[in-house]
Amino acid sequence: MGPIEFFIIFFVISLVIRMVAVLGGIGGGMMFTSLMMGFTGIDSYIIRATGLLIATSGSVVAARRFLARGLANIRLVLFTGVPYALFAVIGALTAAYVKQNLGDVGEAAIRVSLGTIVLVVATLMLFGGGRAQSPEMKNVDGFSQKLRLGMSYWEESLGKVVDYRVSRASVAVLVFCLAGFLSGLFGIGAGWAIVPTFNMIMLVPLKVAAASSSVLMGLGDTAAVWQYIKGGAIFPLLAVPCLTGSILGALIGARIMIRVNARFVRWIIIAIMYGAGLKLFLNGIIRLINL
Amino acid sequence: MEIETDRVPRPPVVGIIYGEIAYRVAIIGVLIAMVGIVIYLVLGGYLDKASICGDLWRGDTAQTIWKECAGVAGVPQTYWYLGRLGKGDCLAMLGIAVACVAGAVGIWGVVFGLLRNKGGIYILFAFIIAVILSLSASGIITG
Repeated sequence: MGPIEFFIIFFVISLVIRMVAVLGGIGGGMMFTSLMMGFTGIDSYIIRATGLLIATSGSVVAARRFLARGLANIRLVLFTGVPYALFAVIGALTAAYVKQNLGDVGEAAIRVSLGTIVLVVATLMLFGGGRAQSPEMKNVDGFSQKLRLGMSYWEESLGKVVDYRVSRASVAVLVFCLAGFLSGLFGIGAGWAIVPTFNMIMLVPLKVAAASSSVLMGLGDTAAVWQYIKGGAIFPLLAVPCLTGSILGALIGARIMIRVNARFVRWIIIAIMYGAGLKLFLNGIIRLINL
Repeated sequence: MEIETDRVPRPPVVGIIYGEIAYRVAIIGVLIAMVGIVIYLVLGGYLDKASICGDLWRGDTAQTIWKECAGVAGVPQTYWYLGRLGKGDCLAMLGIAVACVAGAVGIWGVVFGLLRNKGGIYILFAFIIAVILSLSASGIITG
């Protein structure tokens, strides 16, 4: 395969993955990394680096619109950004350590762990009907109240301003430590963990949760991606087509979103994620057995 | 950062500052990367373009690829591309680096915006994130 064919193939693959991901309402990093690791022979450290680059850049580009419209809650992003960014760096450093010191055992463990995460996320997508557009808030704990995390936004569908409060900030910090770590370690972004945490634990309206998640990933994963650059795992011939394809795919996906049956696309994504997750998991187990 | 609730709320200025700065820096980075990769595909560059596709596809590690395609032992320094910007892949890597620094540039804008607006505890949060991102991008945080 020549470099031009290589470029075109990865451009198209990334475009399609991101387009489908946007239509299904999930981030591109998770799908890209799990599919590439499951179905190509490319070194997993290089794939995870590229996956994180895609997740970061896509989020940074999307953040502008969310912040300008007041959908993303900047206070929430700054508060949760501290543990998320810190642990994303720790996760990326751990990935480098595993790569350098644990060899085949580390590679097998990464595959089994990521496969498990992908299967869990696919299952949550399948049965996770618990998310509320505007969760009901009974009382706000003292710590969250002191932080004044609540804000207001214009809800287009209701034609009115929605005021919301935010709760359980202290509990959420622990979840963001874990989400950041997993995002940095596996190069998958962490929208799959951030949105439910904002929505179901901190009781943030779903639209605000999704918008704030995008801004948070653009910030936090930036810290992690530099560790992969330092590890020499970003190769322009792979990274540029994936990056540009992913951004274009997000734009196309957002445009055609209103014309396609999102429910049908979501079913396809769940099926793909089960396939990729299972393949990664089994691949890791086989590697462990063969050691 | 006060919010009016009787009409469409104005988004916090610091959020707009971050969004605009990060977006513009990221787009500039992507454009540089695209120009660089076109040059690389046409003229070649620092990494041997004929062998890198096979190496990547075969599953070679980053270290092996650097050795076979650039003739360097181990992986290069974080900013390996800066001294060779006449080569297409190095220019593309500069673009990627610019895109990756977008969040760090944007968050410093937030820090200064919050300082002007007396953002209270959020100045500290923004400052901590800015420091983490800057240290990571500068290569000071290392494993």
